[in-house]
Amino acid sequence: MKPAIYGALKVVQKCLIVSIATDWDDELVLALQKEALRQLNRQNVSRLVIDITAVDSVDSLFTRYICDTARMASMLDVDVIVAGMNPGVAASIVGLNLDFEGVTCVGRIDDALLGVAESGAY
Amino acid sequence: MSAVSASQVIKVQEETAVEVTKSSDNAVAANVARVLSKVIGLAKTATQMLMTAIYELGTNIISYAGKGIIRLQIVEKNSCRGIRVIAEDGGPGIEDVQQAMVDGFSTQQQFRSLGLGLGGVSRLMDEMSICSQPGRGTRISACKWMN
Repeated sequence: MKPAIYGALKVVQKCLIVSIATDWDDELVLALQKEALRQLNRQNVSRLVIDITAVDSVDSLFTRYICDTARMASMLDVDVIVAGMNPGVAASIVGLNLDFEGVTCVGRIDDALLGVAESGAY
Repeated sequence: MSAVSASQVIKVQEETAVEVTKSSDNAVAANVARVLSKVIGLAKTATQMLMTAIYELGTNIISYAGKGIIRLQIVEKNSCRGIRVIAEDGGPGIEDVQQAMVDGFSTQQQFRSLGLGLGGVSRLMDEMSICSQPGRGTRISACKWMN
């Protein structure tokens, strides 16, 4: 694992949480995508939470990478939640005429974790 | 080519230039913009949209020209301050500027449907002008104003 992504992935309550750093670049996001898929395959995980709380600027490639990761995880029968999007990021994504099509978004990472308990995921 | 009238004179108060050759340089340029925005007191959401526009412009430079420069300026026009982004490269240029404004337009197969058109940049910024000569390069200038 590259040093930059060490500690960015954690498994909590059968949720794999992937946190993206403020100063992300394409290489980091792609490395996280690869590592997340590897861990989804190896660990008993029922939900992938992509934590973008620290992210305050995005671009069309970033949006595409997140959507791709979500689609891949869905194919592996894993729920996907994007947590912590701030208003400026939402405004930017809409400005680019893109969206997180079909991906559930929650405001805070706590809400993403609460959901898994309620839905009785195992 | 864009025409500039006398009433649109823009004074440049400060400039930082960032050389762009790889994705992480976009983050450097975006962070410079964040600092400059803070200096003039630009709202947070406006700053984030500005940073997104910089990422888009930087990605276009890397994809089409390989390298270029993003200049970030604190500017003033009619006593209103703002941030101007100038993205310059010596790449292939834009054949059809109107077409490049269409969402999702890209002349590169690998970027097709990625939404890398310049329409997004123009929506994120308050004004934008493109100056491009096929075979010579492209210069895109875009401003985000206070209010």
